[in-house]
Amino acid sequence: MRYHNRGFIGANLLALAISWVPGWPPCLAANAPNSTTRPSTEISTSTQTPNVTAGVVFLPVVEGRDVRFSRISTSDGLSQTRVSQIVQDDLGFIWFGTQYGLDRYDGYDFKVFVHEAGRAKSLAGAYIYSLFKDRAGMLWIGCNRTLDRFDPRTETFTHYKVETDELANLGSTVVHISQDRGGMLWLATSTGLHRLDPNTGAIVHYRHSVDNPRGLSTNDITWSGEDRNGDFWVGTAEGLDKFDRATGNVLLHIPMPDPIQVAFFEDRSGRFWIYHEFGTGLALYDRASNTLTTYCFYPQKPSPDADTGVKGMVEDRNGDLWLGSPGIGLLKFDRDNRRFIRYRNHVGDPHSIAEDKVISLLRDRQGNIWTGLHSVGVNHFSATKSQFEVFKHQADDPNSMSVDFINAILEDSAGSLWLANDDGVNRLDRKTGKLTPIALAIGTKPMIINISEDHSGMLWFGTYGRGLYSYDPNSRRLNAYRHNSADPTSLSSDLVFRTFEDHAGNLWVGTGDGLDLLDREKHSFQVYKPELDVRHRQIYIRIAEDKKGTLWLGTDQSGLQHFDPETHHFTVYKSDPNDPNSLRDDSVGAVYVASSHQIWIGTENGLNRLDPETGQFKGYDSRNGLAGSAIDCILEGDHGYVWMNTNKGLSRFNPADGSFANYSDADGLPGTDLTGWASCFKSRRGELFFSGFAGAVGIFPGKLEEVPYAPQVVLTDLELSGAPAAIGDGGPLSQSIAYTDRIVLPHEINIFSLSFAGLDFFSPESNRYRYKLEGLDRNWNEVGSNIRRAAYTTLPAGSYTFRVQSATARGAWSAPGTSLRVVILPAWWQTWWFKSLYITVFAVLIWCAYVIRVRQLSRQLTIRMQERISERTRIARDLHDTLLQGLISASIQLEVADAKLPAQSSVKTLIARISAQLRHMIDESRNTVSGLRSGQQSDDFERAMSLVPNDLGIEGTTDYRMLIEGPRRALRASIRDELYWIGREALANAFRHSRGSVVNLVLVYSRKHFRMVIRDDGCGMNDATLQLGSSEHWGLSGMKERAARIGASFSISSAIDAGTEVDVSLPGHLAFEPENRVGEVRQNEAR
Amino acid sequence: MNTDAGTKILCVDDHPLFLQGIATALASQPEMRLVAVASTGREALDQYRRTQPDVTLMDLRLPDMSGIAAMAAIRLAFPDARIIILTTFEGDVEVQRALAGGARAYLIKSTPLAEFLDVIRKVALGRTYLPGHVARTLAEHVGGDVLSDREVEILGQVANGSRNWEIGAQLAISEDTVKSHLRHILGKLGAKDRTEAVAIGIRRGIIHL
Repeated sequence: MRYHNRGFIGANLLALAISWVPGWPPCLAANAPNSTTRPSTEISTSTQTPNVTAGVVFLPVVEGRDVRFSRISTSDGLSQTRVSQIVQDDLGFIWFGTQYGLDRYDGYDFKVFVHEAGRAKSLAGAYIYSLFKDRAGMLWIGCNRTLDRFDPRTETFTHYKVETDELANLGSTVVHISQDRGGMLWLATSTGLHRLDPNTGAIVHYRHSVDNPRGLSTNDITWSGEDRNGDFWVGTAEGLDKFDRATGNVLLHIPMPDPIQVAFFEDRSGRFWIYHEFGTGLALYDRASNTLTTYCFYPQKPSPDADTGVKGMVEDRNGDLWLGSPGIGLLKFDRDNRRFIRYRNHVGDPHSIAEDKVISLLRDRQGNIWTGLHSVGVNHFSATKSQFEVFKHQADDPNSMSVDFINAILEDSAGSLWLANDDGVNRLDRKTGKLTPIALAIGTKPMIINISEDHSGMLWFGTYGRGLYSYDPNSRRLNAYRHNSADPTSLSSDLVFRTFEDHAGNLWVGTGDGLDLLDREKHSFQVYKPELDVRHRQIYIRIAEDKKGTLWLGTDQSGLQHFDPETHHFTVYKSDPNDPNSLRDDSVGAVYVASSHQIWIGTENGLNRLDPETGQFKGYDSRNGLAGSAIDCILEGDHGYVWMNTNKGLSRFNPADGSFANYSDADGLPGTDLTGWASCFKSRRGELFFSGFAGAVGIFPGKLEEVPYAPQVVLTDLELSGAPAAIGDGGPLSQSIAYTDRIVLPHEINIFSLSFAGLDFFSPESNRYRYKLEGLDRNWNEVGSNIRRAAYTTLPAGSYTFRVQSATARGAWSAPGTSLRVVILPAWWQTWWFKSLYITVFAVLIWCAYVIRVRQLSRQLTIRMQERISERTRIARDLHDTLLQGLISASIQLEVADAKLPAQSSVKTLIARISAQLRHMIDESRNTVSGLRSGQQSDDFERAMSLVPNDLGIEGTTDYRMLIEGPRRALRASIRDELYWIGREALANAFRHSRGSVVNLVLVYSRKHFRMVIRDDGCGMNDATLQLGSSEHWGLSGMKERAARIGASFSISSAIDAGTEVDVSLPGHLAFEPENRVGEVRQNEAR
Repeated sequence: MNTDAGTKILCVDDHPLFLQGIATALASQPEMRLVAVASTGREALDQYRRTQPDVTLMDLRLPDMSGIAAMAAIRLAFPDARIIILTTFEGDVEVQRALAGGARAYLIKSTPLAEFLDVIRKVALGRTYLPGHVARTLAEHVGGDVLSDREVEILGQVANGSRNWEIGAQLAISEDTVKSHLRHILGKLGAKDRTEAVAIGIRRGIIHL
């Protein structure tokens, strides 16, 4: 009968000490003969031996159960079951040496290194005898007759040769490795001691020699080590020798009666402990007085040939020494009380040590202690003491609860704890740790589900189906209240979930069918329900009172209810799935009125806070950080923190910042699920108690020391396209991913994943992780410890940075964490030169398309021009064949008629005038037809203009001058044609009608516009002619129309005897070809 | 000259209005007699054969063939045929060809009636005649390069708006050959580009539209 708590242990220790050590302090005399050191004849007289022996100290051993061991076995991935070697490397990985290989452990997974036949850089052997991490971070591994150096960066093994040729057949297996402050490695073998220079590989052998009596007395070396004074010690088959490395001489020989695997351990206060595997196993050697004191943790001294001693010693942060024994298990040396606390295996307790044969020990940097076990793998535990006091069933301990599930817990005003389960009620004396079952006449399974104490010290037990009981702890009188369906003043139901005494001393009972108020005088009940007339069960689980004296009631599926004892009025709050600010669930197990007057409501599906002033609910769940969403009971701790037990441990809520801190079994809770019968209790001293399926727990919240730390996270694996990336071999990894800060991936490797782990072994499962790939992710991806892997596929080429951070269940993130730069190379089609080529080809194609289009347009223009020419030709033919022939015919006939008239006839003048007019019309028509027929004389606008007078058949003395200003540019074909006709007409007018001596044609090419001016110095025109045109100037309106058609401005100015000026001007973008290209194309076509 | 019947004249022109004018003009001259009219080259030959005129007025442009071709056909059968070529426009090449084909005169249709009749009379007497300005135009181009038949053919195709490859396909020669011909044409005509060559060709009567 033992509780898993320090208080109980204290009680036990006291009892055991009394029974085991009557003669304590130790009896020296009785054991003196057995502890006498034996002088060794082989040792020269110059070799010292301890001159004083203090005899044997027998210390009591008491059972301890305050350590929660975590077990790791082959089913977790351990390569083999016997872990004889444990070290931690510089990154924090734990390495195990087994009989099969070398295992790296990150808190979750193993990476196993074994001998691979044919692979030179694999482990040379299988069975690992020794494992050591040197100061350079290298691991040294001694297997059967081989020694390997393992580089964790490259994950390769380098083989060393230890044995000399003449020793080859003796089989020198390195069974222990140490490093002295000079950096030299010391290898212990059965063929002597060997010094290895790790830099040069040079080996010096120290062996027993009959010729040197001051040297090693035996070649059977099992251990070596340097103490803080710089002295070097060698464990041999005969004892522990102080060894002079300079001369190879033994300076001091400490003989052991049972010298198997002799080693020393120097604790923080400088005490020099000698431990060995057989016999008593432990001795304290005082180097100053040269005295040796044997310690014995057995009632009698064990036989020297029994495997009962000590295989390893470590010291925890508190200065407590831990000893691993193959015979008795794990021991802690309780120095203050001069006793040993033994932790051994308890069948059925998965948190006890898995086996009593401890063959190796390691304390890691975090303070966890690792125990290598003989046949069931490795266990580890945190040596940091848990602040949680746990009450639960303990196998092999009659002083513990009968089952884990504790229905109800209460500390009474006398300081005793009352713990109830289905089997009954127990009272626990917290001073003695004694658990006493209370006999109650309620039946063999009373199923007490709640306990309360009223102001008079009376206890009230509510049962599940057996009604309500009052119990006087002094008189032990039990009084029953039962439901009687015939009596409306009886208890409303035999299911009694809660009893609650309000500030006025009224006792309220929450039952399976109502809220009952007890009349203590009459032993009767007044029953309250919101709807008394409706036969609807109202199950009251929790009753709380606010400052106004009104009651807040938690019900099963009937929501939160508010009851005013004055008015008997109920207010019911129900959940509304559509309203995020309503009650989260109608099953309300927990209601707590905090000192802030806020009302906290725990439901089956999250936490609510009700502001009584506003009636507003605010909801919280696991997304806000709550450990589990089913909340069973709520209490207020120090600083206004709100504590609650959930289906996943305890949650502590800080209303100030809205954060949750969660506690799991790793922190010392009895288990995971702390829900049950909505049981919690706050003692007068401020201790909080919660109970449920996993047991009960007590905590003084003020004592909870939070040492904030963030685990160091490392990358553990890189997978490329689903396969682990090999180191070297031309792959992206030149060394282990844990040591890599940059990888370069070719584009075809478009699936990769990174695994990571926070090297924190206290509670790896509850650690949290977050990662992001800078360059892709904007936000952190937060994951639990079960998803420590980030996978990426088909990333575009570029440079990314993968960052990962870790945190404990309650701690801050490990900023900045670990980062890895990931460079994804572009594919050939993503390279700059390819892109350039691509763009160039594209541009060329565009250019070709442009040219083709221009040619098309050009051809269309040509066709259109051709159509116009043929149209003109048709018109010219028509004019020629009809009008012109008609005119000529008419003219001929008129002349015939004229000839027939008498010479004096007055008609002759008239006919002569008609004849002249006809001739003029024939000329005009001929010119028109000629112009229409021959069209523009050249594609070259200036040349065409220069040919106009020639084309018009102008003969005479009029001077024609052409002036071109500005660089010539190609005119648009259609514009050019229209300009030609305007110019031709203006020139025709100037030559034929102006009677001037000079006709000037000025062409102005400027960037912005094109201008054509035709000017003569002839007779000019009057305004009327300018306005209306005349028979001789019928071309004026034609010119204006043409100019308007092409968007040109047209002006004509003239005055009598002042010549005429025609000015045509139009914007450059209309006039000119956009580029020379079109002109060139046309020119090319012409050729 | 046939005195009892006056000068027999055949007029070949496809323009009825013009024919009507000529008929009126000749009717006013007692010594001239319009014996027949024809509106095509083929008809002209038939009428010539039938009427054996003293003078034939032949329009340069006829629907079925050129007046020069018709003249050649007549002169093949009647080498002494006295033929006057009429035209609305003057062009040196046409004049050259007309004269080369055996025309006795070359007349612009708008020539004043008196001169017109005078030329008919001269030709009827067996003389030849060229108007003054026609002679001048002709003189300008004397000694100039003459386009070959193939070149004239190509220039005609160019004037029709055909492209080089189309011309090549039409004439069963390569495009390069067409280009080569065009270079020669531009050179001979002193043209700067094909448009100008066409314009010159038309003006000078090398080609007709």
